[in-house]
Amino acid sequence: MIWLALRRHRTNLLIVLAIVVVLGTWMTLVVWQFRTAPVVRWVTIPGHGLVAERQVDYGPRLFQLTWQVAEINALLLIFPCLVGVLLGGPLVAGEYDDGTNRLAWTQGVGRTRWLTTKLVVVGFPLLVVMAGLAIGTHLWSFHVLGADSGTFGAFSHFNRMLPGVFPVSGIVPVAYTLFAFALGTAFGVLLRRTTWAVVGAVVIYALALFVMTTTVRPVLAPQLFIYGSPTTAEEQLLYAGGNGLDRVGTASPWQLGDPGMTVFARGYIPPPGTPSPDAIVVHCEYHAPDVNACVVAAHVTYGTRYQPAANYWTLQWRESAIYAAASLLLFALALWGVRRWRA
Amino acid sequence: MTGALETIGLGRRYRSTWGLRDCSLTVREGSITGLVGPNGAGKSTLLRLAAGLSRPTTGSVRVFGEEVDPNGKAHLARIGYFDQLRPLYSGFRVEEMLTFGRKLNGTWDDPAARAWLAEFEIPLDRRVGKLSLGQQAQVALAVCMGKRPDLLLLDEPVAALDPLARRQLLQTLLGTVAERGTTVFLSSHIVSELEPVCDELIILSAARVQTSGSIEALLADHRLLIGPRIDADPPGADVVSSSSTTRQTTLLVRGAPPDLGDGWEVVEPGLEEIVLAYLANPTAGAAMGGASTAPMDGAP
Repeated sequence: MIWLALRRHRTNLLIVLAIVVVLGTWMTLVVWQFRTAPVVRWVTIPGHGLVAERQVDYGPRLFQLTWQVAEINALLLIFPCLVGVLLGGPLVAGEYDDGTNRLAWTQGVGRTRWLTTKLVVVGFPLLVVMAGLAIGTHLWSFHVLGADSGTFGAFSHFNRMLPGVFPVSGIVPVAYTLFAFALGTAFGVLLRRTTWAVVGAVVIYALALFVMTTTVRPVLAPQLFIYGSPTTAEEQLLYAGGNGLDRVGTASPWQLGDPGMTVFARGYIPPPGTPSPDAIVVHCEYHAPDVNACVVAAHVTYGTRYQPAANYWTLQWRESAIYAAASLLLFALALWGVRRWRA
Repeated sequence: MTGALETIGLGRRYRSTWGLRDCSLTVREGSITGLVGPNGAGKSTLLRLAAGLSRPTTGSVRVFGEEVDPNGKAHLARIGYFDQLRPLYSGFRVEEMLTFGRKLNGTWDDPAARAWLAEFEIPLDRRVGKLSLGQQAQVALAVCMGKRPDLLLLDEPVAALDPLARRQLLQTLLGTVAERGTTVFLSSHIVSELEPVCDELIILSAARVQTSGSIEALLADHRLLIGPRIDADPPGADVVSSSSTTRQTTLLVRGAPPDLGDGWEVVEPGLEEIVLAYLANPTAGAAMGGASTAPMDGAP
């Protein structure tokens, strides 16, 4: 059965490996180009010490390096979904398409062993390759730090908490890949056609990532507060994923004002006992000469809530655990469907 | 008496239509039983239920006395199944299909499978997708044979072959199973090629079994009556079907033919005529006498 699973899916596995090798080569080339660019100045980034900032805002060759970094980042973002669904979709649905499930399920191995062997033989190398890519990405990110001093700020690649950076760093890409693989397999069992399995898996994957980013990840670890507006230095630190900026605050429900660039929120905190500051704030905005004084007089304060950089690994592990649990559920569902339903 | 395959009140529903209904039959161990019926009659459904690829909606199906377990190793080891669509891994070479058989089955008779392929001159190093449809059918059968099953379930095994190859395959099949006493249950809609090969026949139409029994008994028990045109079936006769022209009526009756007087000719029908008569009249049907009959009122 191991022989069959490998023989059947070896092409797709090799394709995935090839894509990863190509991407890895591109990343290596980008790093090499950065390393050979002239160093312009040295900056201190909290938590990372002294980092060389290469001059990238003149010279077309170097300038387009930042575009390459952005493209690679985008590719890394869709990679887990791409490879997971590429391998998971045809795993079972491909057999239904060809009718070969009827061939395989009337030989000597039962359907359970058939599917579990496939999952392990295909899934394990997939995760190993993606883990390798995750390590490579981690190393890569150090070398391209400080490269982009343009619109996104010199710190955009330092702040691993950003919604565009968090999913491509650390260990979550491996968990995402497992999830996409499980989705492809489960949808394949459910819908019996590879094309529909792929579509269904991609849609649910995107939905899950959206929900995770906007709703779940911000609350996976305790958030910290700053009351009042952050100072400029604090602001910079916030974008750099700064730690320990909290000025004592008591938790109270408040509206999510500006999700912004990091996992943080900013808005008005009502006086204790008041459910929402909306009415007060609107009143002040429309009727008072000095909005801030009015707001302060009504005991409504302005503050910022954020996820500190120190929570990075906590968030990574917890998010990976959620995806891993969901994947196991999907595998169980696929197994049940294969055993129960007609060929 | 347990047959190789036994069904009692077996039925399978797909959404709102019944693929098979009220099917009670026994396939005698060691026999070569044919399953005939028009397209959509439920032949494939019955074979899939026997193989465990489908679950019954009603009734039960047993293979060698054991209730069919789709994931049971014991069950899977005893059956060989040939699907109507002849699924194979088109990217595999023929040699690799044999490896497939060997790796996925506990007992595998490699020489037997190779002998089967050699008999029909199938090249081992050719990719399955590049073979003709007939050759692909041979490869699928070789995989079935190599398994050394006790019950072969073949859904239209010769459909893709030319007439000469069909005869050759059926003859070879006959020879191969005779030595081991394998039970063969094969479906076709060409009665004339089943007749020389099968001992017993099951006629399936509109998801129901119309009749079943040994071919000898079928032939012995039916008579064609040809005579002047009558508009109603004669009383006391078990008429399977009747057809009339302006001046003549032909009746197929089961059992002792009634004496309708002069002007009526009694003829022994061929198997094909019997089958066509049953298929033309889907409501006719009764189990035939003989060792292979399952009781009509089986367990619910």
